Amino acid sequence: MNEIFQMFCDTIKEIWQTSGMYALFSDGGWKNLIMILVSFVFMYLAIAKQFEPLLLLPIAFGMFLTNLPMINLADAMYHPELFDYVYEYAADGSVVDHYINYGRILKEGGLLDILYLGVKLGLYPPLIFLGIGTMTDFSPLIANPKSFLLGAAAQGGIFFTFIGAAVLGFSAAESGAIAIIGGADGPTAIYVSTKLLAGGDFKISTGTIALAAYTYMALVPVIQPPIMKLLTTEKERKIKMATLRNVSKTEKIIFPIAVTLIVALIVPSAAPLVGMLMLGNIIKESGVCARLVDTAQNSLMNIITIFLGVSVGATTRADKILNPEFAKVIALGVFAFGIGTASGVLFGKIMCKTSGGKVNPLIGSAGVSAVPMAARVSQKVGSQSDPTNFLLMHAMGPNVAGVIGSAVAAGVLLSIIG
Amino acid sequence: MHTDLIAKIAPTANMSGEQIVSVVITGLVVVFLVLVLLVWFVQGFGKTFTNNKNKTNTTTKNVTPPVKTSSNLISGSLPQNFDDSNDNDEIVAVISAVIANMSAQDGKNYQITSVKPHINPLRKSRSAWAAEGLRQNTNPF
Repeated sequence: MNEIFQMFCDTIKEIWQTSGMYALFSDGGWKNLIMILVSFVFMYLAIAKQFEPLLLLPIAFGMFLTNLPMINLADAMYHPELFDYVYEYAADGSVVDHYINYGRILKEGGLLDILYLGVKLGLYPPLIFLGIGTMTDFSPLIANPKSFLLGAAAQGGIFFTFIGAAVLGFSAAESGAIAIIGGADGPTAIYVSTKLLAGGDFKISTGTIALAAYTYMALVPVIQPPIMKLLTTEKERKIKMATLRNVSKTEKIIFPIAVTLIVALIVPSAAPLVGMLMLGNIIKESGVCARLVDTAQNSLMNIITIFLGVSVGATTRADKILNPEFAKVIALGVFAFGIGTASGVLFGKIMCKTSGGKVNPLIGSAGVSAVPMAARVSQKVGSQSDPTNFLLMHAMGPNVAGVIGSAVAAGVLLSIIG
Repeated sequence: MHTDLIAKIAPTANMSGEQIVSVVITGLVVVFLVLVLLVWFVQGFGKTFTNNKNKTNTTTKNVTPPVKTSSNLISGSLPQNFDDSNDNDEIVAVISAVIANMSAQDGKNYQITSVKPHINPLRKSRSAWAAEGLRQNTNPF
């Protein structure tokens, strides 16, 4: 009888010690608990507040899944150690080559490891850009090409944040990855951080960058308006812009070809993003690929969004995220968005002066990308000063120019750091 | 110009002040350069298309339009090269013709008492439906 009781107690003890509950309250388990609570906050923001729910909800659930404590690592869905580089050394001890053992990932990886391959190989961001291309109308930009300048000016957020990150002691690759948050473009941020933060021992991960980027993108309507109001006068905010001219179908078809050609020839590193964006756009504007457009902007886009969101969320494991560097990235992220907005508005003011008051400086803030939220913020702030002022279509020009601008800036960072 | 020609910075290196400034200046210059080129290009082909369109319009206007009769407009058989620009007089004439036709069919005598231009208080060129649609689409928050 005593032996049976002892066996029962041992079994219960073993079940307890191999359970997630035990891991949660053992060494370092509190970190997982914090990240699980953070994932709940994100789920709340996505569901109740509808802040970028299509991406924030999969990211939050991926975060939740990856932080569930597992004693038996084979049960885990994400194994960051599988993505560590394998180094090959020469006889003198110097490194000859380094690579990720993808075969091992396929053999031993969990579900989220397999999905994360799309991020690691840089597949998801260009495919998302393909879908965005099929949903983007470049007419406002073609009708008013000077909007490109506002899209360029708003990229100041990226490069000035680069200074801040470097001053705070981040390495070149880390500074580049943090700076790209200022582009306010999720896929670009993931693409650049994946490329830059590969093959080295870095203090931050792609998950950290993605988390900061999407959090601030969701908060664009909160971050931008105070900066826009601070930098503009009531009179400037009331400026009504002239109606845009109609753009012909031929112009819309030539545009994606020309942009791809010019960008790829000057900044080849930006070609995967800009090329896929423009491929999506030309199949839409051609009017002869209705089925492809339908697939790219619906099925494909939705599938990639789920895979991207959940696998990026999975990279936010407590042991990788909860450190002082994460706080610095969060602080630099809001700085990047603020500077990007301010650069766009200030350049808008310059254009307002040079055009004799024909440009409303509020449309400059839309140059930070975050399509179409940033353009809607321009519209909203403008309509607060004059309810009959419709800036939305004018702001869409700098907004889509910002997507091209941030892809070019990403290409520049990838070209310089490597 | 090819940015790959720029001296590369090691990813794990902590940068010097000169390197940081060079990255910022290079980045801003290249981004502006690319987008300014795009401005020129798009402006160029935009002007070309606008000029071509204007030429086409001028040629079309030089062709003598066929005589429009109320009967062929009512029956829906629009003549070739029918100019559908906003000609208020023509619209009033067409509506009058439709009413005259209706009078003849019904045997009743309908009379148009007045035709007044409608001015939208918000914007003269935007109809009430268009203004409401615009308001709903641009008021997301």
